Amino acid sequence: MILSKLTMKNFRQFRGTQHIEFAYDLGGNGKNVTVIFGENGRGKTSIFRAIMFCLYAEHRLSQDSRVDEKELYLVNYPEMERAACDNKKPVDCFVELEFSHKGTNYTLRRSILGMLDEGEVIQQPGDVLLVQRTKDGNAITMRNPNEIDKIINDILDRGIREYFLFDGEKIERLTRASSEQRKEISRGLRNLLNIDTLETAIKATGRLKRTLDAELERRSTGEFGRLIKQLRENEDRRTELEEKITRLEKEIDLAEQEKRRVDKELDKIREIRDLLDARDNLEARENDLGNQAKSLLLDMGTRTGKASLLLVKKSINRVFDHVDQRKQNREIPSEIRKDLIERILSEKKCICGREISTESEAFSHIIRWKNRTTDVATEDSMLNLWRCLSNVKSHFGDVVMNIETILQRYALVKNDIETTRKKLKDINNKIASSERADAAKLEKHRQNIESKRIKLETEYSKIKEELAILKEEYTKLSHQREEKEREEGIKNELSKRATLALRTYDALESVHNEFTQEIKKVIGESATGLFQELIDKESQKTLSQIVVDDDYSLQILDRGGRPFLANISAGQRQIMSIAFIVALAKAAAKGEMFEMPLFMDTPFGRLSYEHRKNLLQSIPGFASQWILLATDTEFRKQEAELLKQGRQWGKFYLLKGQGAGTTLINELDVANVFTVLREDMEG
Amino acid sequence: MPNVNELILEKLKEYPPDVFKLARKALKLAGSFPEASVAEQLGSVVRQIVKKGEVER
Repeated sequence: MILSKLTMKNFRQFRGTQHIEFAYDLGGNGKNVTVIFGENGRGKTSIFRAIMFCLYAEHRLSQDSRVDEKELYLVNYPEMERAACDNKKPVDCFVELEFSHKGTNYTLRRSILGMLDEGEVIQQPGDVLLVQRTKDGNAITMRNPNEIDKIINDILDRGIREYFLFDGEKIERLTRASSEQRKEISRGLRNLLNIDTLETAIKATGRLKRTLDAELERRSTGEFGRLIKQLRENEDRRTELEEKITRLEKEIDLAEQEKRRVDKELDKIREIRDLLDARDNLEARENDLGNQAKSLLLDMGTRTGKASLLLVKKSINRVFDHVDQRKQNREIPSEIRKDLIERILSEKKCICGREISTESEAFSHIIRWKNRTTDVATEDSMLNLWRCLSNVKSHFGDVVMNIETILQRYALVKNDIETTRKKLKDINNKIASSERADAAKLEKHRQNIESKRIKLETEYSKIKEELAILKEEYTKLSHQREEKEREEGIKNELSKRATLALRTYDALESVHNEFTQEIKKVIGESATGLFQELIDKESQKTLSQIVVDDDYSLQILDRGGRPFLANISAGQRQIMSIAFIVALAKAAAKGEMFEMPLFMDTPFGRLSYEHRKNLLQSIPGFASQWILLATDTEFRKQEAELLKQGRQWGKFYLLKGQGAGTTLINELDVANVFTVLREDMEG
Repeated sequence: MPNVNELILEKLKEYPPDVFKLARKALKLAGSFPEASVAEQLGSVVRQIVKKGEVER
């Protein structure tokens, strides 16, 4: 998707009809950056809101969680006031977005009507219209909202829209996704990576396999029949658990939704807002620390294999000392090999050619020598064992140190979790004992929901563990079944069909795992590279790697490979999220430029000058289109100069206040923007 | 991702020809039909592969 033009009529501050044309590398001019500049309150976020409203019919943005629905109107207020005085007719408001996607041009227009009725704003959704023009000039007009939603969702999935169209201040939220958000993101990502077909193929092959196995079970007896039955029972149990998982996920989502609803209600009570803000921060910290603890436990798991050697440390030392002693006594390796001594004894002739009598003292001496010598194979084994044990012994120190470090870190994180929970409990109690009875009641309800959610999460984890065990058992049983078929020469047609379905199912599953692991690795590596490019030098020293977890949530590792997400700043989180978005787009485009705009609403607020500089120099080259909404404090002459140097900056719009509730959009030539920008203040 | 199915097929080539044949068909059908319908159509594909004696081992 490449945005070409946005037209707004009576939308928010934009009275009358106004438009913005976006820079989009028209005719290969390389200009793909648009800056929309304005002081706070001039309507930058309204432009972001206009795009979200037009594409997804959304009235609310993520940052509106603390805004009352009634206070949020999309239709221009002064125009509604004028209409209320003049003709009493509703004000017509619309947003029209022109964009192209994969060679097809689209014009999407969404309307809304608004009027003032005795001082109260009434808004009514209007029509939606999509015109699709193909390369050969054919135009199709659509008016069905569901059909239009589907087309837009196919172009840019609702679940990942915030990866491309985002509010800079909130982007760091990507690193703090709730279970519901993670699922939505994961679904959107799966669509973006186009592995849905593979997943349908796996399910269908699984279904075929179950049908054939059921038939085979009815006809089979003995050991083979028993294996088929066990496999079927295993699958039945897994299906049952997977259904439970789906149910639990829904219940967890509902609990989270209800918690958010209560939070919204609580937010309306001004007296406790500071407490709520503090609670939000603490809950985010608790979540991060929980993830950190989980990663440390996983890390511990991978190291327990080596650590198990510590259990036999005494025996290893004893064996090593014994062999080492013999080595020091020069018993091994022998000065002369045992097979040579045996040859001398059997031939009764010394290596110098002298005859040796069996009665001679030399012969007895050689016999004693032979008894002291070990045969070559044993000697080699002992020397190998000595080398091996020596290597193992040298790692004892490392293993102990690693385990101790992890345990210490885990203890610190657990301690932090406890402290955070204690603080949370105090805040919860303060809210619950608020003088406002409604706040106390809502808080009690919130606490009940939270305990229910924790219970559900625990049950969820247990089921996940049982599923992993069952899956392992299933693999073993499948191998046993194949063995049995081979041993007993089961060659009937039904059995062959069932086996082929099973092998194909396993093959598809294995390819799926391999593929998703590879993609995650590619995205993680690419995000790490971009992150290192964008982050300041000081942070580069501490932070080393971005990792995409199984659920596509993000983690960052420090130089020692330890999870560090809980400790990074909001600015670093913002850079990390941007690096991830660009990496994702790159993966989806398979190395080519991904056709999707990066629409950033005030992204520089929390960023240092070095971070801003890196973004301004790199993003135009990473993205096919960059639309930057910036305030006068974050986009000054020095930032403009940096952007200009990149030669990709094509458009500049100034949002100018025109009295209460009205903003005028003025286009300025990029060469002339310096007259409206603030002087260099720092850097 | 534009060529994801090609990448998947490339990986499937490492499997025996009978498995590759059935998996490729499953992917092709899954692009156009729902799960139940794909499973039903695959039933006759499996039968054909077995009848033609194309099953490995």
